[in-house]
Order: sequence, then structure tokens, then C-alpha cells
Amino acid sequence: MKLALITQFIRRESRGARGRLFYFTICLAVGVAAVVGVSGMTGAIEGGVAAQNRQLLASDLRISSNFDLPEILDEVLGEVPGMQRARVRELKSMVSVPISSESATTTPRAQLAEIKAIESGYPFYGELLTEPADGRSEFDASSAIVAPELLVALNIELGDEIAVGGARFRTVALVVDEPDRINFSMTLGPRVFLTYEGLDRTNLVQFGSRIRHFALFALPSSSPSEIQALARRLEDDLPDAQNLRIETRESAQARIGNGVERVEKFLGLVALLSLVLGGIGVAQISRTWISERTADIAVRRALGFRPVEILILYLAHILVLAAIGSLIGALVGATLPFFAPLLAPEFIRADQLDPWQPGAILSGLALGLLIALVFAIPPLTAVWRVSPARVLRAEAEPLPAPRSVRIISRIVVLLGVFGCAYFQANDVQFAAAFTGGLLVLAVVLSLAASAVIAASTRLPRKQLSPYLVHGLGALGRPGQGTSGAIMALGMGVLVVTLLVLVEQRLESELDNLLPERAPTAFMIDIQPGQWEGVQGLLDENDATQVESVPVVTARLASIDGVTVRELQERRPVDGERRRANWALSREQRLTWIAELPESNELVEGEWWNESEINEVSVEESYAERLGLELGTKLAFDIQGVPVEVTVTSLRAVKWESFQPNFFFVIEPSVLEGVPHFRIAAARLDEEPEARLQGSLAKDFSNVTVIGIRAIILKVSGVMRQMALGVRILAGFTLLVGIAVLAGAVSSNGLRRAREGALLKTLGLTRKQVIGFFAVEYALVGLVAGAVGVTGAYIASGVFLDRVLQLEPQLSLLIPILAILLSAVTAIVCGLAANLRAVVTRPGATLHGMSGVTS
Amino acid sequence: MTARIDCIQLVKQLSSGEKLLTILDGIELTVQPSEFACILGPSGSGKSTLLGLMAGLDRPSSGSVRIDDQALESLNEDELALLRREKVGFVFQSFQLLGNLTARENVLLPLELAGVSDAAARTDQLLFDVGLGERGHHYPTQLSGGEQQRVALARAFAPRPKVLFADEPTGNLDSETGAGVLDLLSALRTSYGTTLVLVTHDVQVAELADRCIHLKSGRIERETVRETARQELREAGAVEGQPQ
Repeated sequence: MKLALITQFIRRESRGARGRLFYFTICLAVGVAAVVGVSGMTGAIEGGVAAQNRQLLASDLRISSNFDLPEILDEVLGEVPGMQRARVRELKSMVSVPISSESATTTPRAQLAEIKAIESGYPFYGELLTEPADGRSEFDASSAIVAPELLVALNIELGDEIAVGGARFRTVALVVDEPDRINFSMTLGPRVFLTYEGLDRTNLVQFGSRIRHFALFALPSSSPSEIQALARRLEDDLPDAQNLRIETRESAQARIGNGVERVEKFLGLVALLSLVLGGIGVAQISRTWISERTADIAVRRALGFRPVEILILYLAHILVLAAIGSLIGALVGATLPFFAPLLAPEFIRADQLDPWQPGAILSGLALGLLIALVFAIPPLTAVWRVSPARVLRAEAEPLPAPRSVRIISRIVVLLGVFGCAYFQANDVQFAAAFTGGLLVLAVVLSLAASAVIAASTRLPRKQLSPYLVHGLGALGRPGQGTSGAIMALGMGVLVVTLLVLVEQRLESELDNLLPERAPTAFMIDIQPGQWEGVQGLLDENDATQVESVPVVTARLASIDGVTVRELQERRPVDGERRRANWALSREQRLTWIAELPESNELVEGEWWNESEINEVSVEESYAERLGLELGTKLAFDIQGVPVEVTVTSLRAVKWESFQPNFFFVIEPSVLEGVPHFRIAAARLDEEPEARLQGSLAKDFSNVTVIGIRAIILKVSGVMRQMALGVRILAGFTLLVGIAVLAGAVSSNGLRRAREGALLKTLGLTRKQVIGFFAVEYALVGLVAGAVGVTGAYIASGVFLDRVLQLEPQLSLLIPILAILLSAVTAIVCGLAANLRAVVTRPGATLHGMSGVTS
Repeated sequence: MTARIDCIQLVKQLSSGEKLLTILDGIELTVQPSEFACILGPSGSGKSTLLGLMAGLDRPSSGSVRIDDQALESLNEDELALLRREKVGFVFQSFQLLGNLTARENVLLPLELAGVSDAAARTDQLLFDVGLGERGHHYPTQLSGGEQQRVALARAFAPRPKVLFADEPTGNLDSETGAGVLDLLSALRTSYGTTLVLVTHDVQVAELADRCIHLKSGRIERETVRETARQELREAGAVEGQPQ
């Protein structure tokens, strides 16, 4: 077919139908704007999540080691454009009040503290919050920023000096919050910040000191996947990589649980569902258009056009409109994320958004064209069904579309959906699962719609009102296209309900994760004999959620008989997991607990059921890192005494619960009698917590209190903001969904106009005609709603269970509301679309059938 | 530039609920090349259905239609479309002009589809011939019924079809306008030598035809031949002593 003929067709077909073309273009624009907007919004929200995650690491990439970091690291990373680096060193040391200090008490006091020496760049993301707020302005090589607990423990005031490693430091500010501190169950003492140079003034940096060296990198011009790839390259290329711990935001976010991962998966689902909504919209508009052009198509066929030629003409026209609509939609969609900061200013900052995103606009354009092409083809195959004999009599029977056309058009849709899903998710397996799932749902919907229609024709109608009789008749009338309308509306209801169901469940899960029951303070180094007294103080200060566990420090001696030294020296060979040296050589903290704690879940093995052997339960990711499995034998060196245990279970730990949790939990009987101390966690109000600190400092001076209120607030903030992001997106997509539903309902205006005119000719008032139509639309809406909601339940169940790994919760309210909403939308949109049929005089409508095809 | 049409034992049945309605029942008919055959009959006698079958717009339940010995029932929809494109023209009672196209574009359309090189010149000539040389840029809704039918005539003759099917071409026009359109149809047919099959219930229209086929309840009731044509047709072997 000649291009000139196609372009002429498009030019001529566009005339005299500006309203329809405008409507079509706008519908496509809305669809594409939804896709691009959701993708942009997803990007912005992902950016927000990423920004939060980066705070947990204070950087994009963090590399740490117990040894000096290799110099080659700087060379490798120096090549990354815009790279910034800050060094940090952490160590534990006693901190005391200098003897000559004026405010020192008569008996000098000392406290084990966690020293963190930082360079000026730290932190790249998040903030080191101090009291006073400008605390860092006075922070230099001779000063320190300290945790408030240290002042209490040492009985000094801000401005007083402390002694660290033989050097004196003036305390210039209090630490309120540090961004990269999340897990407190390993804490040994209050935090003391020194400058990098300040630490060099002490005698703590010398051979044999246990210093953890960190290099923090900000890589502002690199995407998360580039950073991830860089981390993998470093792991593979660096000569001493087994001694290094390389962390990116993915590893950081694991520390606040899998909430973030779930939100990201949900965003992916929203983007895909918005595509389906766009597709349904395109299909509906194309269907309406083609049904309005039936007379025109019949004339063309009589003049010798082949069906495929007519399909090409209309498809080309749709693609031109789709290109215009997509461009408008992409431009509008690209601006949508800029409204996100208005809704959630703390979460998405305007300065994080890139105003010019040609990539997003181009991909929106491509997606819009792909959606239009794929979803327009099945309705356009109707050209095969238009009999050319229609030019002689309007009621000429439609022809059957050839089998090959029906099959090919369905394959095109499946391939198209797969293509779009792959385009969005970049994951073949997920795209295939999504396409397969959608296919199954479409088949289920279609069968259910046919069954309901068939049942409606068999219902006894004698006792029913004429309105219901008409409505039921309309449902079952052959050639009415009710099945198609129910499918489209049902699919829309399915998508919207699916979104709501998943969003609600995810939100309730995010709410559950909010550490409202989490402890606000940790107490460490409680000697066994002191626990009763500490408990008394906790009771006095109305502490709740009190938990206490014994702690034994140990070193790992061997795994399955191979010593740790041998394991460290062994080069990784194929098939053998590389055992991370840092995990092997670190000081391990063990506990013993009789019952599995609430924040733990057994994922493999059983909890203390072997009487013959000494059992240990290991946290699953730690077990993976060390290559431990059920049955692996571990030997610990506990203060010089070898203890052998066998791994009999693996646990998943909800670290976000902030309960004291451990990588290794030993069977109670094994460690009894071993020298240990206790740690405790409790939830206290702010004032009682301060009182408790004072009392503990007075009565049990070795016990240190670590306040984690700021951390709790930080994590709960992340969770709340993620929930907000989820709500904004779901709400936006819901609106688009309702717009598409409206289109689905209002697609058969012309036929309705004639029917309305006929009813009025038969003597029905306008009110009665409205009643007839309303009942019919309500029935279509109810059936589509019921069918769609059923599909949504199946789909949400599968998605929650398989993808988000959340137990589906059935709510009765949502399906009822969804079905009612579907019926109301059908009535309102149906009547609105057919207002002309109701208002126009019957004569005008019936005479409107001229010989000219419109 | 002309074609012969044969209908052999043509039957068309339609299902109405559980019943089977016979619209045409064993039609045997031959239309000679360049002949003007008129199908006459009361409403519901099957005139338009027969026209649709002869033109390949519709398919028979049984029997055969041949245009120049090409059996239409053996062709698929695409092949039928190509046959219509190359050999067949139509004129309808309700004009069936495409509303988005101007008069000129309506005439141009089949020529563009056939890839005719002098399409524009031929269109302008035809519009001039039907008396609408100045009105080619008007849309159908801006034209009177008679003018619309003249545009339809120009469109039908534009690709120079071998056979033209006309379904009540004057049915929607007043008698004076109708007469004008018929004159034009006759003149064009004569100048192109096109075979014409025309359906009507108007006896006056039928008088112009070489032969009239009278249908009643789906069967050929009788055939009448115009005296001047009788001789020609007899020579061609189409009529052998049918009653007048």
C-alpha cells in the first residue's frame, strides 16, 4: 500500500471529526502521561528511598577493613567522575576525665566509648546532628563531640575536657544523631567523635590497635546500578578484597528490613498496571472509533479495499494520533513528579529532581506508540467483520474474522504486553510472569462475563420491573458487545482494585514495621549480679518492653574442623563460597535464649530439639556469608575455652524491630557458668530515661545507657514517608483508572442515541429513558465489578504471596466498595456519554441516518 | 471494458431465530456484456440481495455467481475485494459517499487505490461530465441529493469498471432529479460500454433497460425485453422466445 494513500487517508479522515480526534488524542495523552508520570514519580520516590538509604551509609559506597585500606582503591575510584572521599576510623577506647580538669570529681572516672574519627566530608548524605546545632563549627583536632550518655557517665558538663588515649579534647557539642548508625545491639559504649587529625594526637593509632578503617565515597553522577557494578568490580579486582567489606545502599537498606524492597516492587507493579490501564483505554477508544466508522468501512470494502488495507489505514492514523498524544502525555507526565515534593516535601526534595529528562520523554513516547499499536490491533480486526453488503442493507450480518487474524492479533497483544513489561521492569522472568498472569486473568474474566451473560438470558423475568427486564435483556442481547464492555470495565476494576488491595496490605505492613514498640534505650555491660537492681530502677521509671539477654564475647576458631586462619588464607576456588575475612575474624557476641524471640523467624531447621549435640542457631544472611549450613560444626574460643557447637537452625531476623538480636544464639545449657555480662533494652519516656541514666551512673557506674530515640525516629520517618509515597502513587493511578473506566462505559453512544430515540417514540418520558439506561449500565457495572474484583483478589493474593512475601489479608469492605464504585461509575459515565440520546428529540436522531457516512 | 455475469441455481437463506428464511430460491440468470439489465420486484422480493450476490458483496448459501467465468464463491474476501477494485462499480440508493472526503476526493479514492497514474485528470473530467466541475471541493453534506448521486456516479465510473451495479439509484430523489441522474447513468454507461445491473421498483426506470427481470418471493417470475434490444440480445443468444 502506498504511503501517499495512507497519508491522504489520515489527512482526510481527520477532517470534520476534530472532536473525536481531540478526544482520542487526549485519552492517549492521559494514558501516556500516566505511564511517564508514574515512571517519573516512581523515579522520584525511588530517589527519595535511595536518598534515605544513602543516609544509612552516609555515602554511596562504603569500604571498610580492619587493616589500612589499599592505596589502589583511591586510584580505581579516582576515575569515577565527581567522586568525593572521606575517611573514617572507628575504635573502642576508655575515655576518662583528665585529672587536672577543674570539674573533675575527686575520683577520676572512666568509661568505655566508641570513638569515631571523621574527615570533614563526612557525612555525604544525612546530617551529623549536634546540640548546639552549629557544634561542628568549633570541632577541630583538639575537640570532641560526644554522646550525652558520656557526660552523665563521667559526671561532667559540655565544655569540659575528656582524655582519650593520652590526649585531651574539649567537649564542644552533643551528638543528637549520626546518619549511618542503625544497629545498636553491638554497641559497647557511648559515641565520641574526634576529627581525623584529632585521633592522630592520641596514642591509640599504633601497631596492633583494633581500628576499623572506613573509606566513604560519594558518587553523585553514578546510578545505583552503576554503583552496584562498581562494588562488584572492586570485589573481583582488588588484591585484598577478602579483607574488605564493600557496602552499597542495597546492603545498607537490608539493615532496616525489606520494607524498602517491597516498596520498590510495588512501584514496579504500579508502573506496569498503569500500562495496562493505558492499553485498555487505547483498546476502548479504538473499538468505539471503529464501531462508529462501520458504514465508512463497508463503503471502502465495496470499493475494493482489502480488510488488511483498511486496518493499515486506521492503524497508521491511530499511530499518528498516538505520537501526538504520547508527546503531550510524555511532556505532561515528565512534569508530574515535580508536584510530588509538594505532597511529601521531606521525602522528595525538588532539588533531587532533574527537570530535563529527554530519556524519560523518549521512552514515554516509545511506550505510548507501543501501547497504541498493540492494544489498537485487536479492536481494529473488526474491519474483517464488516460486511461490504452493509452498503445495501445496514443490518447485513457481520462476517467472521479469519482464524489467522484472531490468533495473530492475540499473539501481538501478548508479545506487546511482554515487551512493555520488559521495557518497564527490565527482567525477562518477571515480564513473562506478568504477561502469563494477565492472560490467565483475561481468560477468567472472559469466561465469567460469558457465564453471567448466559445466566441473565435464562432468568425468569415475569415478576421483574420493566426497567430490570430491559436491563437484563440488554445484557444478553446478541451482537450488543456487552461481553467486550464487561471485559474492559472488569479489567479496569481489576487493575484498580488490585492496586488498592496491594497498597492497603503494604501500608499496614509498613505501619507494623514502625518501631512504636521498639526500645528507646539500650543498657550494656550489666554484670549478672547487677541485673536485679537495674530491673528495679527500670520499674521505678515505668520502663516497658524490657528485654535482657546474656552476652558472651568469643572468637570463631574453626568451621568444620578448618581453622579460621586456614580459611582466611585459602584462595576461593570454583564452587566454594568466599568466606568474608572480616566476618571470620571479628569478635563474635553470643547469647543463649530458651525461646525463639518474637523478632526472629526460623527459616531452616528446628529450635533446640537435639539432645545429643550442642546446638547453635545462625542468622541466615550471616550463615550465607560464612558458608554455614545445617550440620556445620563451629568451634568458638570463649575466653580461652574451646566450645564446639553444631548449626541446627537458621533464622530470619527483623533487625528493624530494634530488639537485641544476635547472629549466633547458642542452646542455653552450653554456656551456663561462662563469665558474661547482660545487655538490656527498654522503652522509656524522655524524662524517666534521663532519670534512669542518672540513677544508673550513681548506683551501677559500669552500666552504660545508649539512647536510641533519634534512630527510632529516623527509621520510623523512613517508613512513614515510604507509606506516603505509596499512597500518593496509588491515588494517582486510581484517578487514571477511573478515567479509563469512564471511557470504557461511554463507548457506544451512537447506538444508544437510536435506542433512546426509539424508546421515546414508543412513549417513554426522558426520565424513564434515563431509568432504562441507568439500570442497564448498573447491571453492566455490577457484573464487571464482581468479575473484576474476583480477578483482583486472585492477582493480589499471588502478588502479595509470591512477590512481596506478605500474607494476603481479606477485607470485605474493599470488594463491596469496588463493585459499588464500578456500578456508580458505569451509571454516571454511561448517562453522561449518552446525554444527547436522552435530550435530543427522537425525530432528529432517527432522521439523522443519512446516506453520507460520517 | 465490459463483462458477462452468470448466476447458476443461486440460493440465499438467512436464519431468523430458529427458522430458515429463503430470500432467493434457485435464480438462473445471465447478463450479457454491455447489457443493461434491470431487476424489478416488490419490496422483499430479494432484489438487493441478488445484486449483492452478483457483485460479490455477499455470499450465496448455494449456487454460483460468475463474472467473466470467474466463480465468486471460490474467492476469499481479499480476492473478492481485488475483483471489485478491478471490475466492479456501485451506485447506491443512499449514495454512500464518504463524509470526510470532498466530492473530488470521493471520486479520486478508487483511482488512488488502483494506482491510476492520471487519476487527477480523470477525476476532473468525470466531475465535469456529471456537471459538478465547479463543486469538487464541496463535502457531501454541502451538496443536494441529486448532486451527491452524481458524485457517486462519477466515483462508480472513475476506475472504468466492466460492470456497474446500481441499487435503486433514484430511490431517494424526486422524479425530476431522478430522471436527470438516470440520463447521466445511461450516457456514461453507453460511452464506457459498461454492463449495468440496476435494481428498482420503478417501472419508468425499468423502461430504459434492455431487459427486465421480474422477481417475486425470491424467484424469477418473468423477464421482459425492450423491442430494440430484443434483436441484439437474440443475436447474442440471451433470449429465446420469452414472453413480452
